[in-house]
Amino acid sequence: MTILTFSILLLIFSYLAGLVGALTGLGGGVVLIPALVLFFHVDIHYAMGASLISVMATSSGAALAYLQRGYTNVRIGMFLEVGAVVGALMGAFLVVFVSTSFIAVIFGLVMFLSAYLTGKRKEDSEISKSQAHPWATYLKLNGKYQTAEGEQPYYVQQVPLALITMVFAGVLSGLLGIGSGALKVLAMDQFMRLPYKVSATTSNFIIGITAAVSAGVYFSNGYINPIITFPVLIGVLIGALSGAFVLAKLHNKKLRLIFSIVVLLLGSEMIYKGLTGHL
Amino acid sequence: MTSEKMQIAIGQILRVGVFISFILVSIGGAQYLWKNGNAPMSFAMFSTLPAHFVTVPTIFLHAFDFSALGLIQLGLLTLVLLQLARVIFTTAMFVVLRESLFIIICLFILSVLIYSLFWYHPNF
Repeated sequence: MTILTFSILLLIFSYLAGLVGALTGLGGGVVLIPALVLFFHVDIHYAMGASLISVMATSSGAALAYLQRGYTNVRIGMFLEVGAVVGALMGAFLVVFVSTSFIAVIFGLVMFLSAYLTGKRKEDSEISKSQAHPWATYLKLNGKYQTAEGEQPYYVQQVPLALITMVFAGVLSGLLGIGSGALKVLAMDQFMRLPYKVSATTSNFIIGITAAVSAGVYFSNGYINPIITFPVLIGVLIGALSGAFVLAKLHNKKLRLIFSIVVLLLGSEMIYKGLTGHL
Repeated sequence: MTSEKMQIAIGQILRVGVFISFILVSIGGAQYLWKNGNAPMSFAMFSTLPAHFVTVPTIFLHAFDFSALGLIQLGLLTLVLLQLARVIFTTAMFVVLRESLFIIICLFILSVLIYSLFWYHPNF
């Protein structure tokens, strides 16, 4: 295979990963990294570096559309990001010391978790209309969002638990080069009880910042390789943007189920390869 | 300026930044493929990245040599610095709103970012 063929194949694949990642809300990294490693035989560290860069691109590219619609809660985002940046720094420091097999196994487990959380996620989770958590009131995290019946207030729950979840999300982001979108949405959907659109857009707003914390460490260790990263970045970015474009028109429950199964299969393969030392 | 207008401004800066990054990476990538596209694929080449492409400060210093790899790394660096800009503008928003607690929160995030991007060099 020549470099040209390799780059074109990588570009097409990254486009698909970005597209499906955006449509299902799972993010591109969770399929991109195993595919690079399992099919293209790219070293896992380079795959992680390329994925980390694409996380920043998709997070920044999609941010505009969402911010203008007024769903993003910047206060919640920045508050939770305190936990995520600390976690990301720890994760990125750890990545230098752990073995490739260890990374592969952890990655497989995170893929299982992401598939599970995405599979069971509901578009209209129950919004808490009662008392907010005292921290939420103190930090003025509660907000309003537009629904079909007009503007609805939401009251934020379980703030400390969400913050702790964000530390874990940060560690995984730094350790694996992914956005940890599934965990961030878990913190905001399930624990804080935010409306779906608020949690998805707020998560998207902060994902790039978390990735940037690990970027310094990834660059310094040579994980971000321009030759692998450029086709991946171009592909994922165009894929994610076309995904955001068709998102409104698609009923994507079935797609999400299919994708979750793909993620499960890839995750099993990663764990198997990691345990048998074939990476 | 209201916080809503500032959020829209942040979004616009991000979009322009991503566009610039995309253009830089595409030009660098095309230039690289033009010169090396027909060479056989070898994974050994990934481990021989010149030293000036590896830390954020050194990429910054060498970014404007306009080599294929230099342009790609400059594009990637643009994306990273864009995240820094995002935090700086959000901090400014809270300064305008006079929210001291959130200013402290933003400054903390900013300092972790600056530390990891500019002070962390394990190999040097």
